[in-house]
Amino acid sequence: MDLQSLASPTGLLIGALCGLVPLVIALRNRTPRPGILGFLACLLSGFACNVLGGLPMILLTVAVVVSYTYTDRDDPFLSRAALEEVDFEETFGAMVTRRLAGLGRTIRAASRALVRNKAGFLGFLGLVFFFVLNIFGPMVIPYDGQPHFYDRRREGAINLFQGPSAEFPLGLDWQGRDILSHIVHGGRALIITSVQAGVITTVIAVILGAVAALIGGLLDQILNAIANFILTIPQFPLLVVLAGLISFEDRFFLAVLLGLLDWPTLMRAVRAQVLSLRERDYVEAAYALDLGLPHIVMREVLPQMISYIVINMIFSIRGAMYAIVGLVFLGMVPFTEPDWGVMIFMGRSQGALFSAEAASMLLSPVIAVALFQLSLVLFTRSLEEVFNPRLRAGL
Amino acid sequence: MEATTSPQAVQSGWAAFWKATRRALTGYTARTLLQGLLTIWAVMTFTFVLIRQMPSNPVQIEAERIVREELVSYEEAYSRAASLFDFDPNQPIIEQYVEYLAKLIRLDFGQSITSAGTPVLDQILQYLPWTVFSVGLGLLISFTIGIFVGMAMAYWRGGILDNVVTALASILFGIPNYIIALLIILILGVQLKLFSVAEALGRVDPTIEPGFTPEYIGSVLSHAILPVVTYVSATVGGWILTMKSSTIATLGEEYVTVAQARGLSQWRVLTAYVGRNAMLPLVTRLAISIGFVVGGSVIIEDIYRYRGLGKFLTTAIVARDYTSMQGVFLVIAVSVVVANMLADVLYGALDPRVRVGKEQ
Amino acid sequence: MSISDSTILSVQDVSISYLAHRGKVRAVSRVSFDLHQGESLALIGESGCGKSTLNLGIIRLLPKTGRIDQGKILYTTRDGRVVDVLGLSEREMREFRWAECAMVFQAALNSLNPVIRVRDMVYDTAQAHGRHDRVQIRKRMLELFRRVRLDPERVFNAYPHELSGGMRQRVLLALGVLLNPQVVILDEPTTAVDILTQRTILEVLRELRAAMGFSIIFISHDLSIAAEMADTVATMYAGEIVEIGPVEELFYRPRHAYTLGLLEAVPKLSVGAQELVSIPGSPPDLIEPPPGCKFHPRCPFVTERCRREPPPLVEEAPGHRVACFESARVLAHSQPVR
Ligand SMILES: Nc1ncnc2c1ncn2[C@@H]1O[C@H](COP(=O)(O)OP(=O)(O)OP(=O)(O)O)[C@@H](O)[C@H]1O
Ligand SMILES: [Mg+2]
Repeated sequence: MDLQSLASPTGLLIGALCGLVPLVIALRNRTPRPGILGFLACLLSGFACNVLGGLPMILLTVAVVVSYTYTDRDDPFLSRAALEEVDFEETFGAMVTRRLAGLGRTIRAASRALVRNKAGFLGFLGLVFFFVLNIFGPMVIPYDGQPHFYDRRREGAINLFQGPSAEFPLGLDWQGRDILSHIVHGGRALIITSVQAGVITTVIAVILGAVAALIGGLLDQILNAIANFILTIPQFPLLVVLAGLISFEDRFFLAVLLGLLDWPTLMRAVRAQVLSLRERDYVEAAYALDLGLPHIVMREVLPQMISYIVINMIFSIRGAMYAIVGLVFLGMVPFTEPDWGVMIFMGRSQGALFSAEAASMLLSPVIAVALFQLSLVLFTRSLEEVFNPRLRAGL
Repeated sequence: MEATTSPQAVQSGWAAFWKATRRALTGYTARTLLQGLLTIWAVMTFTFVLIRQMPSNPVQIEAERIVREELVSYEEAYSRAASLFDFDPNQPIIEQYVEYLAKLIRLDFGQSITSAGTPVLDQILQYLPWTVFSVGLGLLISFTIGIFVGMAMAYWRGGILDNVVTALASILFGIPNYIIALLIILILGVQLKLFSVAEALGRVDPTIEPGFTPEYIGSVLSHAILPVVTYVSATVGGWILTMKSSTIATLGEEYVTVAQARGLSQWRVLTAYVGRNAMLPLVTRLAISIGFVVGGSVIIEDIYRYRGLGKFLTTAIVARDYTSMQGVFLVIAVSVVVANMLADVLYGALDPRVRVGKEQ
Repeated sequence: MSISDSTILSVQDVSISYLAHRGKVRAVSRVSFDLHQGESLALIGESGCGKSTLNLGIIRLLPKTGRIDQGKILYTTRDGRVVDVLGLSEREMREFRWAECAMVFQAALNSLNPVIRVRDMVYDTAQAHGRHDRVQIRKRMLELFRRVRLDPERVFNAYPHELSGGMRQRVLLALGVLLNPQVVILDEPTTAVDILTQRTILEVLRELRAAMGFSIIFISHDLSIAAEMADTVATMYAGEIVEIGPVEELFYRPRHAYTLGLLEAVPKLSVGAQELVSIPGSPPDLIEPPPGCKFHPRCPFVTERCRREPPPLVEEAPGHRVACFESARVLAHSQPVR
C-alpha cells in the first residue's frame, strides 16, 4: 500500500460511478434522500480508497436504500398478513432484495445505536476526524520536509523552534520545518501498524482460545502454559530487547510481534467464554448434530462474543500504539519520518520540554496521540450499544 | 540394623517415598509452586538466550565508546574494553548458561559486566526500593480512589457525580501514561510554571546528604510526587470504571435486596454486602498488578529521570550488560509469579466458592 | 385510620408503577385487601401480573424505577397502634422490615450472600434489630433450623453454596421467623424445588404458623398449594385484584371469568385424560392497558359494557368480592366444572 496518499482523482471518478447505483435505485423507488446520502457515501469512500472503498460501499448504501422501500412489508415471522403474502417460491431477485433490505435495516439500527451514546458518538467522530485527516489531509497539505529558517534565523540559536504563526499554524520544529504538515502526514503509518497489531492479536487469541476450550486436554494445557509464560515476561522491556535484536525497519513485522506478545489475555477470556457457552444447550445440540469445530466456532460462539471481541480488539490497537510510540520515544526503533512518535522523541531530545517557545513541537503530537487513543476508548461505548441486541431494539 | 536391610524393605521404602511425593505434587499448593518455578525457569532461559542474540556485545559497545571518546584504533580500544570487563564474548553460550545456573541456585546473580566487581543483586537492591515505592504508592492510591469513587458512582448512577467522573475517568483511561507525564511537564511545569521542572526531575535532590533527616525524606517525597501523580492518573480511570460496573452488577443481586428486607442498616448493606462482593474481582486484579510494580514503568522513569529499576534496565539493555538485564528480568518474573499466587490465595480467602473448587 | 380489630395489615387503594423507556408500567393499580391475625392469604395470577411488585411495595423495597403512586398500607403493631407503612421514616421502616414483616423471596437461591456464612447473616439480622445477645440468638436459630428439619449445627456454620436449593429455601424461612414477625410474605416459596421438598416446606410452614401465629401472604402458581394453604385467595390480573374471597368460595364458586379460566387450566388427576383449557391470548400491555375491563379481550363472557367501563370490585357473597359485570353468568357456568 502506498503510504503517501490513497486519495486520488481516479478514486473520485470511481466513487462517482459507484454512487450512481444507489442514486438510481433510490430515485426509481421515490426515496431521494437515502439515495443522495448513498451517492455521497460512495463518492467519499471511492475517493478515499478507490475500488477498495467504492464497491463495498455500493453494497452497503444500496442495502440501506432498499430497506427504506421494503419497510412496508412486515416480517412474515411476526405478522400474519405478511405470512399470507409470502411467496415460498421466491425468485432470485426477490431473495436478493429481501436480504439486502435485512442488511440495510441492520445498518440503520446500528447507526441509530451508534448515535445514542453521546460519549461513544464523540469517540466515533474523533475516529472519523483522524480518518479524514490521514486520507484527505495529505491532499490539502502536502508533506513539507523543508526547513523554513533562512530569513528567520535568530542570533546564536542552536534550534530553530518557532511558536505558532499565521503562516505556520502549529509553528516550526527544531530544524525549522512545518509542524502541521508533520502532524498531517505522521499518523498514518502509526495507525496502520497499530490496527494491524490489534487485528493480529485478535485473530490469534480467538483461534487459540476457541481451540483450547473446544479441544481441551493436552493442547489446552500447553496453550495455557504458553499464555502464562508470555504473561510473566514484562512486555515492554521485552519489546525493548527485541527491538535491539530485530530491526523494525518493516513496520508490519513489528505489528506481528506485538500481536504475538499480546494475545494471552484475550485468549484466556475467549477460552473461558467458550467453555461457559459450551455448557449451553444450543452448542451441545450443534455438537450432537456433528456440525464440526469451525462451524460451532463461527456460527454459535462468535456471534455471542462479537461485542466482547471487537472491544478487546480496540483495546489491543490502543495497547499497540502505546508500545510503538513508547519504543520510538525511547529511541529503540529506526526512525521513519514523518511520525508522531519521532516528533515526540526529537522534541524531547532537542529540549522542547523546557522552552515555552518550542512547546508546540511536543504538544502537537502528544495531543494527537492522546486524542486518537481517547477516541478509541470512547468509541467502545457505542460499540457496546451497536452489538447489544437488547439495547439496539430500544427497549 | 542398616546393614541388614533387605532389598524388599528398600524397595517398599522407595515406593512409599514416591507415593508421598506424588500425593504432595497433586496437592494444590505444591502444584502451584512447581508451576511457578517452571515458569520462572522458562522465562529465565528464554531471556538468557534472547539477550545474547542482540547484535554486538558489551565489549564491543564499550570499545565503540572508547573509540569515539579517545580516538584510538578499534583494536586497541577493543583489547582495553575486554580487559576492563570480566566477560569473555567467545565463551559458548551453553557454558555461560550452565555457569549462570550454578550460581543462581546459590542465589548469586553474578557480577555486573559493565560495572565490574559490583554484584548484580546489590545493584538491583539499590534501584528496586525506589520503583516499588513510587509505583506501589501510585497503585495503592489509585486503587483506593477507584474503589470508593466507583462505588459512589454506581450508587448514585445517572447523577452529576456519575456523569462528570465517568467522562473524566474515560479521558484519563484513554491517554497513555507517558503522554500524561509529558503533559504534566509541558502544561503544569513549562507553561503554567507551577513547579520548576529542573528541580522536580530525578529521585532525590543530590545535594542533600542521605539519611533519616527531615530534609532528605522531604526531598524523596517531593520528587516522588510527579511519578506517583502520573501513575495514579493513568490507572485510576480503569479502577473507577471497573468498580462502577462491578458495583452495579452487585446492586442488582437478589441478596442485596434481601439484606435490605432484613432491616440491615444502609451502611451495613453497603459494606458487607455490596462493597465486599463488588470488590472481589478487583482484589485479584490488584494482586496481579502488584507483580508488575517491580518492573516499573520504563518510560515514566525515563521521562522523570527517576532512577528506578526500569531506568536501570534500559541502561543495561543499551550497554548490553547481560547479567544485569538477566537479573532484572528474573526479579520481575519472580514477582509476577508470586503476585499471581497471592491473587489466588486472596481470592480463595475472600470467596469460599473458589476455595472449595480448588481443592477438588 | 380505622380498621377492624383483628386486621394486621390493610392495603388500601395502592397503585405502583415502574418507569421504563417506553413509558409508565402500571404494575399494580388500586389494590385493596385486608389481612387478619393468623390469616393466610394466597395471591394467584399469571406471571407478570404484579404479585411480586405488590409485596415489594408493602416493605417498600421496589427497585429505583418503581414508585408507589397512591394508597395506604395500614399496619397494626403489637401494642395496638395503627401506622401507615408508607408514612414511616427510613429508620422506622428498617425496624419494620423483618421484625414486623418478613419476606421470603422468589429467587431463594440467590437470597443469601455467597461469601458470608449463614451464622453471620443471622447475627447481622438480629443486630440490626437491636438484639445483641449472640448466645440467645444462636440458641433460637438452631431451634428454628431443627423445626424446619435442617441439621442445625452444620447449616449454621455453612456457606450458602454448601447448601442445596431446598435447604436454602428453608434457611430463609427459618431466618424469616427469627424475629417473630406478625406478617410473613412468601413469594413462590416452592417453585424450583422437587415435589417432596415442596411438601416438607409446606408442612414446616404450617407447623411454624401454628406455633407462632403469624399471618401469611403467599404467592403461588400452583393452585392446589394455594387451596391447601390459604384461608383467603385473591386473583390478580394485570395489576388489579379481580376477585377475592374465602378459599372454598373462590375455588368452588368462582365469579370472575379469569379465575374460572385459571381453575380450568389445572390438570385434574381424578378426571383422567381430559382436555385442558387454557386462556386464549396473553396478558395486556401494562403501559397502555385496554379500556374497560382489562380482561375483556380474552374473556368468553364479554359484553359491550365490559369494553366501555371498568367493573368495580363489589361484595357478592359474604367476604367474596369480585370485579365482573357478568359474574352471575360465570357462576352459573362454573357450577358443572366441579
Ligand atoms: N424494574 C422494573 N422495571 C420495569 N418494569 C418492571 C420492573 N419489574 C417488574 N416490571 C413489570 O411489572 C410487571 C409486574 O411484575 P412482577 O414481578 O410483579 O410480576 P409477578 O406477578 O411477580 O410475576 P411472576 O409470577 O413471574 O413472578 C411485569 O409486567 C413486569 O414486566
Ligand atoms: Mg414474581
